[in-house]
Amino acid sequence: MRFRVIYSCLLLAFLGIVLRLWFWQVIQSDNLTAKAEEQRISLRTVLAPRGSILFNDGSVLASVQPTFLIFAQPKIIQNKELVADKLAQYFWADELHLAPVSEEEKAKEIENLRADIKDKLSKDLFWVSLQRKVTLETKQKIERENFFGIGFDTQLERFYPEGSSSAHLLGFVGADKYGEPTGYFGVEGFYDGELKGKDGLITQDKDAQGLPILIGTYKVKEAKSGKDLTLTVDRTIQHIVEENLLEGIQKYGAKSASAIVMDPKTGNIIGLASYPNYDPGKPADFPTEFFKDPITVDGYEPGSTFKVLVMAAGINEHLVTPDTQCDICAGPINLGGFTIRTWNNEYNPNSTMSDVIIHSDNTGMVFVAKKLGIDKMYDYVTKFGFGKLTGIDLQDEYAPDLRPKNDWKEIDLATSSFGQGISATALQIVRAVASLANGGVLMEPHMVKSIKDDKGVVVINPREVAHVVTAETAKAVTEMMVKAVEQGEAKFFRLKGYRVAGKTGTAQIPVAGHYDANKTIASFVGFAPADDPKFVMLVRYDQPTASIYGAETAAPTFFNIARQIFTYYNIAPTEQ
Amino acid sequence: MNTIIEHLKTQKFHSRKVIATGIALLLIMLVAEIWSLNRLATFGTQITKFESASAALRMENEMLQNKTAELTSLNTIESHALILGFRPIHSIEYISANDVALVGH
Repeated sequence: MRFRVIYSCLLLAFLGIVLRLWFWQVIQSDNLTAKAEEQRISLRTVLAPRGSILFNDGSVLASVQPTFLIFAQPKIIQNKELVADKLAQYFWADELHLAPVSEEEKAKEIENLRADIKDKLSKDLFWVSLQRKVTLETKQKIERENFFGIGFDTQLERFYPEGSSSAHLLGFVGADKYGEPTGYFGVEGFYDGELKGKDGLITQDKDAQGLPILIGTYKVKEAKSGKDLTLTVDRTIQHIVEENLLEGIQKYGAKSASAIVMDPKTGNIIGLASYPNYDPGKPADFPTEFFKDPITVDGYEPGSTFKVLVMAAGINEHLVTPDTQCDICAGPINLGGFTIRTWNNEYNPNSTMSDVIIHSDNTGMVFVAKKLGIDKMYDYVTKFGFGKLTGIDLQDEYAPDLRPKNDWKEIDLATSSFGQGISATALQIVRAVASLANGGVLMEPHMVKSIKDDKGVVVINPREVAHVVTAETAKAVTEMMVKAVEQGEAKFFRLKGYRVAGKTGTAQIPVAGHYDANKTIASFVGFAPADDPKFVMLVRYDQPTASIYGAETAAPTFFNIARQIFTYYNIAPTEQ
Repeated sequence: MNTIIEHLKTQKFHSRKVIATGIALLLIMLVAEIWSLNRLATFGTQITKFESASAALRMENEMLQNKTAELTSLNTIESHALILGFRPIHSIEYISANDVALVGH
């Protein structure tokens, strides 16, 4: 009997052990395996650099550079005062001080840093961030101090060797809602998917000290770098445009200024700048309204620069020729309760169409518009690309709406002929005028020439959008534009020896339902050399105060830039 | 009979020798394996050292490339050119073939 009891107890104990073993080795197997792996296996992220952005000659516009986040483990740091004191000195020295700082200010700033660091080290936390974007040099100096409990995380930040140049065409890299680096605006925004790399992962066994084991598990998922973009933008022309525009905005007291230079034959953008601009390396220091590129986003009434397009439509339809005389140009025109006048209230009764362009005669343009009619006018406006996106590869392009054809009245037909009552972006205007420099062919504008990754290079080819007017029409309008430069209001600024085709624009800005005579958008659009155009350019000043006229503000800037581009391209004068 | 017993004794001695040698070799291999595993397992510091050195060199390379890009930026070149005494050209004269007196031989 006693034997049976003992035997039963032993059996029960044995069963208990078996059950327990079964619980730990079968039921909890996955859980324990995972925990063991967690202790044994280290996972290390290999950062993938964002793709670089290069000028058309391969020089760097945006690349990446390593920076460091310095963190502390407050619970294990012994000498917090000393650490805080030393780190404050290093952090202060690492910051960029553009202006000289007095000893007193320096001491105050270091003391503030020291107090901030000490406060963070006093927190009851396992990990705390002390400073971000620390340079390699400073990191190496801190490493040599051998502070226990201070560590470094590598981060890859954007680096701009040209500083704040090309800010609007570049955009910037910020963080999305998950904290992941994301491009915004410009090329960074449009090509964010291509520029982003894919981080890699290294899985390996580690020992008790956290060091890798040579003969243990070692699995690598390679990091994939972002693709590199080569732009169509020419570094020298971009520099020329920015310098002249900056000088101009100050000289003419304008609220803002923009310029865009394009190759009319391919649609390649070779220069694009706007002011005020911002530093793409520090976007948080600038107002958000500076981020959007006015050239692709701001709609405005183009004014007289639009006349060349309407004239091209009239000539293309064989309704007028350069020598056709205007029979309604003797005085102001009354239409639907409105009076249409010339900009200087001077009237030439027998103006030819060439004279209309030379003298920027609004009444002459109404003559052309009436011959076209609403249907044909609307057709050509849409054919020239207005009312829809150009398709440029910059993020957040905007196309002002075109009022539906059925809503157009006679007064709308008249005013649109001289570029008022119709809205367009600077990009739309320059692209439309570029078609006249390209034998009547409208091209799609683009910023990126090629995209390179580890598999090869993808070249982006020019794309024809439409044949808007015939080559003969384009040539005829070009000659009218050349005469406008040689004999019009901008003749005092033209470049001697060069045939430049151009048109001034002075568009009044609508304010609270009426036009303000003192607030204008002053612009000049043109291309050169007229016989074989190498570039088309638009310069625009918003509300210049030195003079409201495009002929006295945008035109001189245009010709200054053109002169330098001629020198850069080795284009000699063709006339004595 | 004695010869057979002697032969059997000799054979037994040889087989013991073989077994002893086998065991000794096994022990040596075991010790060697433990020793080599131990050695390799402690290579972690070396691996970390090489990885850090490789990462540092790559980083230095990137920094130098960026430094080169910065020093060759147009703004930098322009400011250095001004310091060296270069000045922007404001007027350029183009010489055509007609402007040159051709000297015949």
